[in-house]
Amino acid sequence: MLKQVQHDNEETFMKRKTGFLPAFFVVVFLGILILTLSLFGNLKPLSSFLEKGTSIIQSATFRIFQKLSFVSQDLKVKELGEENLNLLSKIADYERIKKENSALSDQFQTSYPSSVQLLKADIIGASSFIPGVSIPNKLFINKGLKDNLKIGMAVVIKNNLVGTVSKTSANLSEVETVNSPKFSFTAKTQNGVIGIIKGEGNLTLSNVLLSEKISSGELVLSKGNIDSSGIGIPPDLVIGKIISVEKKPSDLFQRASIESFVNFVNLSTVFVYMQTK
Amino acid sequence: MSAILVILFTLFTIAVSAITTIPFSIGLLVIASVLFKKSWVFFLALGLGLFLDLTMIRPLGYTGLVLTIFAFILFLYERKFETQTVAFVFISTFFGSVFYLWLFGYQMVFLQAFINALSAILFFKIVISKLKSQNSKPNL
Repeated sequence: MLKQVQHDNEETFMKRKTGFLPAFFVVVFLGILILTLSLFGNLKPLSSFLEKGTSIIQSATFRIFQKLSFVSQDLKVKELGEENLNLLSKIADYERIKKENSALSDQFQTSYPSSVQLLKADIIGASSFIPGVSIPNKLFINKGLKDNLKIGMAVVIKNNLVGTVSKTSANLSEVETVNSPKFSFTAKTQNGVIGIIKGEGNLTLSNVLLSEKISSGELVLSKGNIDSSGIGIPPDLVIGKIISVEKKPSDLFQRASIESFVNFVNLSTVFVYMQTK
Repeated sequence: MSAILVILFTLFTIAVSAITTIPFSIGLLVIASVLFKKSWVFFLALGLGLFLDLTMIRPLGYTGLVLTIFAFILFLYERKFETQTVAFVFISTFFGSVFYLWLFGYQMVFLQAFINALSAILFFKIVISKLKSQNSKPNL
């Protein structure tokens, strides 16, 4: 008797569903309609409204996750990290001032941006493969088109480059971090040697001529890549320091591995480098 | 009971989308499709997709369409094969995740897909054991 009941239950449980096609077509039609309206920008008010709700969920999860013991760093390590960032910012400032002085005395002019506007943004999401272990390639911040954010704007923490804005919506933006494989820009070492920074999982400074001299411990700074509208990566932002140099006499170029000073896993606030004039 | 578990898994999928790139939504859709075989799975796919579009700053409806078509393919297989098996859940979650991760340009596609498939199996086992224990209670 019990076996018969079990068999009947399993049969009911295993029964095949027919007639799902109408539901599928309705959902596909809805999906295409939403996508079309969204691509033509007709859903902006709705998505802006909905984003507020979803960003609360995103933000709450991210905050809870950052408070987990295995993710959050030891307080002393955190303090030392911040101190390190401060000192590096000072070194970068010193280098910039030195060059400014030199430019002023030589040509009575400087190209360094005269005004900089930083916009504080909270990170509400940082997707990585293994949360708390893998370094995120993308960050989501709670500022968007409503705050005049534009694609390509640099995102910094103190004087350190975090990444650039890669996507924007009304209330949110996506930041492609410097370690992202899609990220590539011109950089220079403390001594003015020029190369190209590539994410590739780990940061590397490539395309450095063999004749140039680079060594471990040297700071790597952004060379500056700002377009006519003032959007882009400003010069002299700290990218990291060289930890190893790969130099083969048979190659045309040498490359160096770079370590960023930014702890992307524990980052909770960043600043967007707004238009510079 | 199984419905509650699926709702919990849905909430978990929504919550973790802010911190991980592993597409748990694929695993969730596979389990919901093979267990319930109901048309509301398409609406779940669209809803999940819309949420992901909002959080990942994609055009609204894009991910929803991808997930709906994925659920449709699962339903087509369901007509030809026995789908309530660990093998089917693993294979469909793995290949679904590979396609999803490739489409949206994520890194370490195969490893993420593998982990997602393993977690889908784990959840599938939990739900199916709950269902079986529920169904085996004699209704005499």
